[in-house]
Amino acid sequence: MFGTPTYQAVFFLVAVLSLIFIFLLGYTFWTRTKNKYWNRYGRKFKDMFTPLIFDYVDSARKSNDADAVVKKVTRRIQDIELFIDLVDNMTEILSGDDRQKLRWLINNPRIEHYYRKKLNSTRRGDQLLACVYYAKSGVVELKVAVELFELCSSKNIKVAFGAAKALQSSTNHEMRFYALKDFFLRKDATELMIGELLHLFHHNSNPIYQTSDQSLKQLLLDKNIRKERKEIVIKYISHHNFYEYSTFLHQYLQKILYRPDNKSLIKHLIAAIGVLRVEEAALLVRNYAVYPDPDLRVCCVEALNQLGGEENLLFITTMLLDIEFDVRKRIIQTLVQDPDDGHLLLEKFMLTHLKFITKIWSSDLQSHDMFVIVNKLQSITQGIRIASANKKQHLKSTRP
Amino acid sequence: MIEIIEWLIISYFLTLNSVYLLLVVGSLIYIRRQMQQSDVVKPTALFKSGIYKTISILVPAYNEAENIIESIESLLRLEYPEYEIIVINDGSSDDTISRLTKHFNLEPTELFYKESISHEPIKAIYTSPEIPNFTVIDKENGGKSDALNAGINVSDFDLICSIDADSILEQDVLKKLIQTFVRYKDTVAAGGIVRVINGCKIRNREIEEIHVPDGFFARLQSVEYLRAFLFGRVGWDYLKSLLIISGAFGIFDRKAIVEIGGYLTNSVGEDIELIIRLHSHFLREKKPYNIRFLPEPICWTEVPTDYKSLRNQRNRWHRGLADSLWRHKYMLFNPTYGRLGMLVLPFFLVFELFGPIIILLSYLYIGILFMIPGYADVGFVTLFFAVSILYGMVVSLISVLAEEVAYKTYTSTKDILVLTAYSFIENLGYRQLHSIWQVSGIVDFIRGNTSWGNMKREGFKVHPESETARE
Repeated sequence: MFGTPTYQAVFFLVAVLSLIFIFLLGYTFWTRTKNKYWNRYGRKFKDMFTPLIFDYVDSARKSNDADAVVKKVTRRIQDIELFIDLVDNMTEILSGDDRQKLRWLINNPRIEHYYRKKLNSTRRGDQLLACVYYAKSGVVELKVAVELFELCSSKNIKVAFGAAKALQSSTNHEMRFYALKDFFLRKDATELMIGELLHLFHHNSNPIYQTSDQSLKQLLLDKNIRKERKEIVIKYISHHNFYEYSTFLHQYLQKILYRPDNKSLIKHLIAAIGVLRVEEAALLVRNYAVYPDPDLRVCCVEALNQLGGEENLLFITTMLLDIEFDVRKRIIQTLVQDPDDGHLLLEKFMLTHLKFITKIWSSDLQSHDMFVIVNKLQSITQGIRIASANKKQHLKSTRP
Repeated sequence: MIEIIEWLIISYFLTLNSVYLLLVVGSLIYIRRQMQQSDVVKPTALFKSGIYKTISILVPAYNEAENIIESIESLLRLEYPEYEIIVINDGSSDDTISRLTKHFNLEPTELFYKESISHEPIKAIYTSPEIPNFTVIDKENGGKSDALNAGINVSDFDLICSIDADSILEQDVLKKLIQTFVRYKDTVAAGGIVRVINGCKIRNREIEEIHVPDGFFARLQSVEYLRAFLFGRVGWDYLKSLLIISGAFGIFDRKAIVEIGGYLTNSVGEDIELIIRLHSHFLREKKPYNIRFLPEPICWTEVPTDYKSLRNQRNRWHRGLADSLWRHKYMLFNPTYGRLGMLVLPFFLVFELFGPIIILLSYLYIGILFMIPGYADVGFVTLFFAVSILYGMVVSLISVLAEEVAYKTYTSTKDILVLTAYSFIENLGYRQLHSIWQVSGIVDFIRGNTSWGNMKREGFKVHPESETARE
């Protein structure tokens, strides 16, 4: 049954095995030796250029002074990359004028010219290198910006993201906003990319804060931008405590209709309203606090707690008999932690309900529903006791 | 008839090794693509834009007095903005709890939580006044799954991360894995690469140098981990059909776990069972979900180095697989469960569960052929050894090559040479022995054995002179 083809198969497998074996050994030795060589070369390069750059920083007066140092770097890709990395690392330890002098090195026409060529290349790797360079050096020329915008619409998400990041280093706000918005509209962009780009956009726009403020609003109002991405913008606003958005977020929440596809967006808005303490939105949050979605109710309790005030706390107390454990737990924690009237409200709640239970117990109205309420009240009592004890313990341990 | 049997045997081995080869090669391409992506996207953006999730790390501990303090100290150093550690002392008979109490100045406390998943009674809960994100639960013994269920109940965060007390995590493990949850919406579980720690140089419970172990069995397992646990799982993930997230390390959406009722306490393969149940639940409910595998080394675990412990471990793993497939047999060839029910689970049934039986029967068949004069067909025997052993060697060797191309994890060239040698040796005896352990696992499963078996552990104690993990 098994004749010549058998031996052919065996021979084939042995040949494949031998080839892989030889390739594996060759690859291992070659790549490891190559890595060792480049590591050694990198160290030597650093040893040679670090003192040169420090001398340059001490003596440089104008941007042309960078020419002397840059001329010493050969036109090899490795050397230029090493040089940029070195300058980049030094930027982290130097400040003020010295940092500006280091920028002269990175922005030197010789280096810029080199990367401009890479930007015009059709090779993806070259384009990415150029994007990384312009993200560091800043996009000054319009021509470069046009090239980068072209790359922004690349089918390759990596190149497009690199170009959008590079454009965030421009001083032209409109340019940066369009790059950001274009990227927000891409279907293949991940939330990680969106988050990073948003941070770069905002972080780099400190001097033009007011205009950037308007831009984030535009992103939220754009109907073509997906809701998950808008949620990232809202989270970003609350994470960085951008109080100037308070009124806008309130108005935005007012405009949104409660629909299953809007639930998550609404939760994000309510959470942000709590963090930013948008007191005028309290009524709206209280309205949402009675909606059937338990996560939304927990979110509202947290927001109302952050907003504070007697009215909000009183409202939270009325929710203590909520069907969901998580909601009840959050309310107890909120009220116990409240330094003012929280414990009084809890006490009042318990007294009212204990009286009610005693009445029911002594009467003939006992039913299954009553048992449920009694159990819930027992759980609440236990929760209050535990939360209060933990608070006391915490205070004791933090006291000097 | 004989011809049909022989062709079936050959086809079986050919299919098995070809699938593994495809998984390894496919995953290598996938990993390269992932790595290129990670060059551009910086994970720190997550924390700057506030889109991360909070994580509770659950550490079930049973008689872990030797390792527990170092383990927790290491976990407290993880790089992540918002996480808590919950140690669950599962009725240890050693001094695990007293060591924890003494070292971290723990004080008894009470926590207000809902027992969404049932578990053995909790004796006490401790917290540390100095470390606010650290809680210890002392409970009656109920097994690892039971301990994890107690931890899930007490946890208040978005995600839960279950780890073994004897594992070492990379410092940025949470930062890496959280990306999966952000990138793929509706992710309910994510795992990462678990690697062999034996042989690595450790300082302050951090891996300083990565080497292959010295022991024979540990080295064999290093190759095995590369082939099956690394590239195998990446391949299944690529096909969106991941069935296992290692019990040594995994992150889960807390609500999803509570929704399916937590870990099963009477299963020895709690990790695979949980993942199959997650698939089953979300597919049945037609809810969108993702179960992903991050192809980056994130968790280091000690592998058994002695024959008996290894045998017990593999026996248990196979019992776990049998148990999980048996519990979820309704999914097999059921179109409701899509690709998983029609392709992946049947593959696991035929090639993973029954594979060892077929392998051993094939060897038995060849033995019988040689014993009956005139029946032995040299051509068949040669082809059999070619497709089972030679092809197996090709797959193992490609796994080592893939590791070298993708990660270059091992520090020296010598390590790669050792792995190369063991990818040959592995196929000459160890895999056959492994099949015997697996078959005994199936027998034990049928007998109803649910014990975990003994596993001898050396721990991460480091010698003052040389800080190499003892084997």
